[in-house]
Amino acid sequence: MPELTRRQAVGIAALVAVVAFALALRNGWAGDDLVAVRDNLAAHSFGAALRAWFEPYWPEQIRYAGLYRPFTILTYGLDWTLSGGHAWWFHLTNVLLHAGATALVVLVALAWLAPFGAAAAGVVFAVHPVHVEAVANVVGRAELLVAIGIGAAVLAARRYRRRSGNRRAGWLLAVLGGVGLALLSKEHGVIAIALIALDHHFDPNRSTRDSTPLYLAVAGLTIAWLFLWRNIAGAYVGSGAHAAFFGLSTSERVATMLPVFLEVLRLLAWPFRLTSDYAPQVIPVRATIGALTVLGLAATGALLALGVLLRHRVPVVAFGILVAAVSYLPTSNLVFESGVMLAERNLYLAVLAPALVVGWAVSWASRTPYRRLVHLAAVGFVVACGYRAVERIPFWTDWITPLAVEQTAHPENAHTRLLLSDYFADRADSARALAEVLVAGALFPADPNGALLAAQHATAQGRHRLALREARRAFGLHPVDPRVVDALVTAELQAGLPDSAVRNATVAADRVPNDPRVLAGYGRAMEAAGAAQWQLDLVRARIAWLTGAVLEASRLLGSVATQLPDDVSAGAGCAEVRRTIGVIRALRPELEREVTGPGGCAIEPITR
Amino acid sequence: MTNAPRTPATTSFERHWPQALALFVLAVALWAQSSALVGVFYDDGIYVTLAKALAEGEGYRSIHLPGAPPAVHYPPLYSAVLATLWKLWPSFPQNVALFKLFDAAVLAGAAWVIATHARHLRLPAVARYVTLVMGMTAFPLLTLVGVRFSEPLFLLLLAGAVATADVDRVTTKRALAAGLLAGLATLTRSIGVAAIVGIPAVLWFRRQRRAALVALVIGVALAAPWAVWTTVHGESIDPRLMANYGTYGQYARLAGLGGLLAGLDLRALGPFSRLLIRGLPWALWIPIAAILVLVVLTGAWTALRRTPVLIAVLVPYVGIVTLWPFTPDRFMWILLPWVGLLGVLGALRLWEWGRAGKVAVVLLSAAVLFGFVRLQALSVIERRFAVTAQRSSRPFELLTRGIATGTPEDAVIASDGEATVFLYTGRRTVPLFLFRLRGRAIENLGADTTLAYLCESGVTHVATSWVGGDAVPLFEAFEARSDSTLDPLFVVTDGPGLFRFQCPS
Repeated sequence: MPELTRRQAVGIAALVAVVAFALALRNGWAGDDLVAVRDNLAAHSFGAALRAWFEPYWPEQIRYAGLYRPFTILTYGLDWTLSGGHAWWFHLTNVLLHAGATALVVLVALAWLAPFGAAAAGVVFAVHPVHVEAVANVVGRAELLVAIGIGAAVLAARRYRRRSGNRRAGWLLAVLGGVGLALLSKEHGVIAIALIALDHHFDPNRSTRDSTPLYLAVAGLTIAWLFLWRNIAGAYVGSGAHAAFFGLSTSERVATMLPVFLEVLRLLAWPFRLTSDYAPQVIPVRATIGALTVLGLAATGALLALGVLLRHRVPVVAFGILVAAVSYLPTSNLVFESGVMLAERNLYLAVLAPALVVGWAVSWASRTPYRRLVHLAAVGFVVACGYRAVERIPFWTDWITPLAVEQTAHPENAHTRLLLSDYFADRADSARALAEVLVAGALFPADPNGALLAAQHATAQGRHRLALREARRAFGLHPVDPRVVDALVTAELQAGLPDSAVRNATVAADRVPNDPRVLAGYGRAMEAAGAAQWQLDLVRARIAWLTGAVLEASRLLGSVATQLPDDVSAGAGCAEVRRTIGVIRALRPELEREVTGPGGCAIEPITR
Repeated sequence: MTNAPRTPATTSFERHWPQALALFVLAVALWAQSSALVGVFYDDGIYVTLAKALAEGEGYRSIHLPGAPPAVHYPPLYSAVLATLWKLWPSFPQNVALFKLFDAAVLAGAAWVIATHARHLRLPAVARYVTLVMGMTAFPLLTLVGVRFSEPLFLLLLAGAVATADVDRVTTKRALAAGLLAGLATLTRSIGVAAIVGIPAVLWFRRQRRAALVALVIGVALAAPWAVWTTVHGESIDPRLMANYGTYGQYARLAGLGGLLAGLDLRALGPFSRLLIRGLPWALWIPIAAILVLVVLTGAWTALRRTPVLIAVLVPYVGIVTLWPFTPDRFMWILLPWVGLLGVLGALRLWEWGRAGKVAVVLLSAAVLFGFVRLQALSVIERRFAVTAQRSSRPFELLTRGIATGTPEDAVIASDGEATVFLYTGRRTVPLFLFRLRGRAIENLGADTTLAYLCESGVTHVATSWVGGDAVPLFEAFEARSDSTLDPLFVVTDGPGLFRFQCPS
């Protein structure tokens, strides 16, 4: 086995990482870079990023998915300030961060492997093609930062375990710094405590010194972060689930995701077929448990069992497998719905598994007759990975390239069609935008967003029958979504069907009576259908009450009192009164007496 | 006593138990945070308003009031800390999340310090663990930490001062630290003066006079600027606002000597007695309450030799609360962890007194079990500790939205939650209800005085969270006058109301 120093091992792997991804400097803004960096004012200076420290990750207009990554935004702001917003600089930072993460991987591996083996692990990590999405696309930086934070915390925790006295306190602070960096870079940082514990368990030089304070402190920091995250971005979590999971039960979601684990294993072991968007129908939604589900479960279980079985004989491999499992868990969609079905960038830390396996194999083979064969295989794997990674880097050149390539490679991908629709809409090519959403709808009819977009595009183009068809489809899928209600009311009114608009909007308003946006659509339909002014004012009073415009609500109810007809119960009058009775009782109790008087409506008395 | 704990931390659990308790308290305190508006308990709104004033460079002033008079009622440290957080995250009310995190963290810190110091009491470990878990997460403390009160920070500083000084040999450095913490505690809540007095007293009696003087001088030196500030600016407060915005000296003068001495009936201990079983006939309740007092006093007596500083601080603390003419329960609630520990210590001593002692302990245990434990369980299961804040918040949510959308930006609002209305609407505000103390009784200043004050303050609108109760006589008096008007803009049945107000011409 060639002799290497630890420093050389680290340096070689980091250098390979830089060389392998140097081509990324030619890339521009692609994918989410446009929204998260190029058009995001918070990322346009260090000061702006600092001011946005307590803001969710996404800019206000698309604030969803509950992401909170202020440190990542801060690095964008710093890059922007230093470079004046040139994309190559951002890519350079990413490449250097990837080199840093690779160096940390080598340092972690050195606990079990000789420098040559650790360097081999580092080189595999450096060139693994799955990393292209995280490194060559600017927004992938969150993955790099979280990996660096966790890696630094793991190494600092090792030092902590071996030190005593005041020097321990210093290393404890370093651990907290690493965990803090990880948490504030990406939500995945919550796994830091588990990875520190795994490293502790497998540490061959495990100290007998007590590490309880370290775990308590990391747990405290994680709890504090969770609280802050929940307050800043928690309200948007529900809106971030992937459209593929819409309407699925937990068992259906699990049945869909278990076969995906086979794809994860394939990506880690044989990463030569890559996709930027694992969405239906690249990954089919499976409502029932089939052979692939069982196979996915068996493969995952077998791998985890292997991790446990190897814990004494080959701890480095066991560590790699378990790190991969833990790091994949948050986006596995097993515990909760996440915003992705599968994303290559989310496997950044999981690549530690194949990297450590190769590192171990190279080390092990050095003492056996198979040395040359294994080394040759490792070199072959590294060269193939490197070639594929370099080849893949230009995929992330600009906005259209990933979409165009993906559409050609996976014409069955419904989500790419929606992204293409956005692209064409941005270029005012509404006909092609509409065509793409219609294809998306045909590919994956269960997505209400596709139908909604189709209705909106069709309305904009004056294709009212098509708009009506798509809006009704969206309403059938998601009748309580205020955007869907609005689109349906618009489409039905344009098609000259006000009564139908009222009927459908009533269904929605009765299902979600406290959503002012749904009520607004309902009011619009009522107005078009020629409802009496006092009834419209009742609807507006409800909207005003729900939006906190108490004065306006009170004024509108006052106006209702002056317009009441002799026969309140005529038409749908009583239904409207019943829907508004809570607001009437709160603001104008005298109005209740009027509407329940002679010729009035029967209303449930107040129950206390 | 020695510098090392009396109960050596022999096991791993014992060594890390204070940190584990702190982590548990942190998690529980964060879970206990309510979504109520800031200011629903009045003082919390004032603290945050003062923090805003400091953060925005307006000085330590009540910027919600016309003329922004200097703040002389609430010591500045808690508001200053919140102001620092406000500077980090200047967008209200989003930044309240950071205040919540801070309060929870300092309560956790207090738990750590108290648990570490509690080893000196030489209680059986399990009794200590159970008492502190119950005491630090007792529902009154969860209520306190769920609102922006200064109590968690005060408890941390007070516990820190006590723990620092409660060792056999107090070095000058340690005395300095104890004095510093006692001074900071006093800058958080004025009652921290109990530590400035108690710590040097113990050191003096133990003939560690140099340390005593150092602790005293540092404590006094830290608290003195606040005393000077209140003396200098106390007179600039409108006498009609004295009860809410005056200095504590002015407050005590309003109550008079009779008002102070009336506290000798020990009503200050009421909050603890309410933790016992409820609904008992007096004949049974009084003996149980007496046993509780006896047990805690026995515990305190026993602790006097083990943790003299703790007792020397708690005695003046309880003395001040006893005499103070207005005693919110929260002044006593924060002592719960210590009272619990002393209670257990006393009960263990009482148990050794023979059959009578055992009967007393059993009776008290039953009362605590069916009283406090039941309340605690219900409180945790149903989040009752947050109910009052949430319930009080609802009318203000309507009111503040109504004011924000229905009044001009230069409107001056008279309200029963002036800090809340100011914080959430940006409108200048004044208190709607003016009162003074007569002895321990709170007496309304009357409609004429109120009317004159509102007119002098340029009030344009009146907003009340409940158009009933105290508001009724005031509104009736306003309406009886022909030269002023009170036009309802909106009135919610059994809820808040907003009125346009016109002064007498």
